[in-house]
Amino acid sequence: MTAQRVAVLRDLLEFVGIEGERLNLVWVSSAEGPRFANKMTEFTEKIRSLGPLNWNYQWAVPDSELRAANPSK
Amino acid sequence: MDYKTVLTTCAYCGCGCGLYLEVLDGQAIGTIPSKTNPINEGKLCVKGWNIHEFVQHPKRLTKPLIRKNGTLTESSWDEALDYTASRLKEIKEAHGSDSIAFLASAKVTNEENYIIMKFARAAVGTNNVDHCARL
Amino acid sequence: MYHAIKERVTELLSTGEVKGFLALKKDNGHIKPHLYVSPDEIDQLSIGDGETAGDARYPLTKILTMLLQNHSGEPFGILARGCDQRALRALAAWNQISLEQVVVIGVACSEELARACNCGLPYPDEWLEGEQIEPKDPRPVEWEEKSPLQRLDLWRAEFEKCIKCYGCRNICPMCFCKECSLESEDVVTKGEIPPDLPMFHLVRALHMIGRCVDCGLCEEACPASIPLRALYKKVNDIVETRFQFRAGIEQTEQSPLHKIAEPPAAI
Repeated sequence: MTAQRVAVLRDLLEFVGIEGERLNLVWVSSAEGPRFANKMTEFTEKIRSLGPLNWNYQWAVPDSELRAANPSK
Repeated sequence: MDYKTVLTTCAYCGCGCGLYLEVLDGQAIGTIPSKTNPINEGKLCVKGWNIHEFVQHPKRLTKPLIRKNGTLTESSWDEALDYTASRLKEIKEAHGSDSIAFLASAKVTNEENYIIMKFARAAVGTNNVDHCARL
Repeated sequence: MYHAIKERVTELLSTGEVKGFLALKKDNGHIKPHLYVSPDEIDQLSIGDGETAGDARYPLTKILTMLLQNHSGEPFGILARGCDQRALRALAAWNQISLEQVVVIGVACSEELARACNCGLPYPDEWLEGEQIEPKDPRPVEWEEKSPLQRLDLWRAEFEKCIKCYGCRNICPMCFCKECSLESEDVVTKGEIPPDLPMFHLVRALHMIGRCVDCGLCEEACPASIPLRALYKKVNDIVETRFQFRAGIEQTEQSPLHKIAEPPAAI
């Protein structure tokens, strides 16, 4: 069931413009340490090669940071 | 079982969106925006969507409260009005009209806000009257 | 107007076949959802055509679910368009209502409304008012023609407008969860406007799997006019392509993504 939902989510992400490869589903048991490490390294490299997400949103700067950057009085 | 939809106006801000309160057996249980209202056209903000919650909320005041010995205690309308009127007169005499200020509410009608303004300016004689929306 | 409907409703109420009939009513210059309990008020019955066709549609199926759950065992009647019928079937498949307790009077959408609303099936099985209009392709085509980068920018611009009013969830007839994950701090941070982009909208879209019947009330309730229908239509299309399932079409069919079952042969 999880696999089905992840498949749908991957298609939905493509529709919204986010690469489906940024989402990965792996079943790993806590006894499979080396396999977990491998999967993680593989995925990290894949994300690195995809590069940052082009999500051009101006994150709101908290007031405290604005004040620190522009001291007045 | 008695289900009604009651047309009313949102009490929160000055927009005045039209909505229907869903009333089941005398209890307000839900809100539906009015599609045919030209102001909101079937849309509401998060406050409007939850307007049914405060209507019969158990925390609403049902009796006037007077602070006696540091704690707010329930009293009657007569006692509360007498106390308020006499204290306002005393303070006005002792410290002048401008030592009293009035805060109006966005949840009451325009007419009620007019009364408090008139009371502040004509009865008490001060310009210190403001509205919670400005704060 | 609507003589056939009014006659049938009068019949249902006078014989006591239903405890009440959910439809719309002309009241104080507006059209509102109303539960008719006596035939006297039937004159003001409306099917939701105000200035233009279908501009006063309300989630009657949502009210019906609430009434049935509060008064189990009592039968109710409801005025249903194509979308309402799909909602009724989907709600029954999700065990929220029992169709035996519901008497349906159908209304088929006029051509004007069918084109404007653009759902998959603008008419119920039977109807006393309206004409059968065959739907045109309800797929969100215009989005397919854009590049992924363009789509990302466009969707981000849309999601940015969200004021987190929860209108889409509140008005959806298929949203019946007692505890909504969109109110959980683990999913959506409290106190942020716009809410966790794109989490809020994608979570909602995912939760519409197996539920969304494409009634369009969400987009009509959005104060920021976010094209929610395009998003949820896409989810419905994905589910239909992969699992051959669409909510509300078959009476008893349950969503395949919500059953613990054997994994499908191919995903």
